Amino acid sequence: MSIKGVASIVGIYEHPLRKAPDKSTPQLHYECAKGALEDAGLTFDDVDGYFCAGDAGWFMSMVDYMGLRNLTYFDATDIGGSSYIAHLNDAAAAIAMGRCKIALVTLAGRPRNDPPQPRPYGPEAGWEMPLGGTPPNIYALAAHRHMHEFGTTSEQLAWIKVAASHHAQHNEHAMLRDVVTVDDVLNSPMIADPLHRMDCCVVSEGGGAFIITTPEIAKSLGKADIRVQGAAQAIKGQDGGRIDLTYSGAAFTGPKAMEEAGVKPSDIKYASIYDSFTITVLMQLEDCGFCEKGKGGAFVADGNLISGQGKLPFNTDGGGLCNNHPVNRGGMTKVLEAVRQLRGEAHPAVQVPNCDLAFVTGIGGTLAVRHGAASAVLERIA
Amino acid sequence: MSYDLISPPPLNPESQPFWDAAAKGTFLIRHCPACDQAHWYPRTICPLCHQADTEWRESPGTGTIYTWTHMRKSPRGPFALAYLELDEGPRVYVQFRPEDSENLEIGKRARIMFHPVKDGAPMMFAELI
Repeated sequence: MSIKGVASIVGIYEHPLRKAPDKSTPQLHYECAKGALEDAGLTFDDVDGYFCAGDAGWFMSMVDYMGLRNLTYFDATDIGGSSYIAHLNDAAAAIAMGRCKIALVTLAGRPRNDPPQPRPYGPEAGWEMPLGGTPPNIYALAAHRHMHEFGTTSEQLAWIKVAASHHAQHNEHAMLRDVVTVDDVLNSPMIADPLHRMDCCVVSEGGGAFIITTPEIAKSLGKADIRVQGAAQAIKGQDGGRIDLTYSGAAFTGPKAMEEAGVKPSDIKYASIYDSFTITVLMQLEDCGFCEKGKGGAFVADGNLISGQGKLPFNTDGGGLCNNHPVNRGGMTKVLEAVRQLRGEAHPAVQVPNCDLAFVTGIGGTLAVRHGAASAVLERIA
Repeated sequence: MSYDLISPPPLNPESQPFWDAAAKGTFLIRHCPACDQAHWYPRTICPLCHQADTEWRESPGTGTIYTWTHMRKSPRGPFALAYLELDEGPRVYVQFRPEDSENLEIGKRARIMFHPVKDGAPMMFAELI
């Protein structure tokens, strides 16, 4: 049993705002949902599956708010910013089992206007809550260990931001459109050793949504058939104290998604790699097999991720590092840019020629404490 | 970084003995009689082998820095986090005391210590040795 080929993405929408003081969070979800449905040529009454995560608030309220009255399947699993890639997997599985036919996935929020959300804790709270761990310092823990084990340098990490900035210059909605150099990254203030400010993603508002359905319905809508060919998800925690920071959960999900799709890393024409921090990209590239473990630094250097220059064009919208990281959750925009690339609708300056096979992967939660990972392979079917 | 700005650790019946010992300056870890391994953070049923109720054991709390970071700015000032690999095996996610924040390196020796935080409750930190 496999989800290979059973579902297609037929609608996408990325909210143009990066700061939304005059809108509510549910309103942003609603606008994103509406945009994706209009892109697909569908209506709210067509939706029978709905997926969202913690940014939507109380799940049933969001369903009621948007007037989703025909749901037969829903799921609100939250694995942080990678939730929406996992939702893609779950929605495809639900469609394969006939639990729903047209699934909506939304993300939205206003972290620049709303009060900070308390970090969620479980039974580890006594030992971890007082530490003050936040994404920058927790991801930095993984970066330091990677440098120690493999000789990875800050210069190499900086290349990831440089590549993202090359792409963001063409995106009129991107928060940061200036092209930056390796020196710019190294000269930006140190936030949490060894990560500089420019190793960190933006904080933005807005959101996004996508629609998944059966290939038959996709065909009837006359939309490009962007097929889900493989997907996988995993949780990586501390394992009772045996935590190994040299790899991420993508070590499980990347290879598994590619195996299900029957493809290998060298087949991938475009990759959306969740870039909460530069180290997040580097570790996922290694873990998904785009290069050998420990060689990620050499792989990303010298513009290898820049569209039109390098071997693996990544995050051609500018990614979370430069374009958009709505509600501190970057998995949604990763799916959206992969679909744009497969449709040939990316900005012409960054569009990968004949892009028919794309890979999406994300890490949500905190890389060096406990996180969720999700990966997917998408293919344009002629 | 001021200790007074750190909230006390939330407790529950499972963790209470750890913090009772901490109040006396004693560091406890959980050890499993079935698989003969220590784990972190402390759980009653072994998370490694799932077989048995674990036992509290006193630990010197000594170990080696596995990784670290120094957060340069925060609402409570700069602070340093690390994983300390205990001599018993488990890697412990821990904050370093402020005196050591700028002198951390992977491989350096350190140990667990306790210091009062807001409301006088003991919290776990690490110090270089």
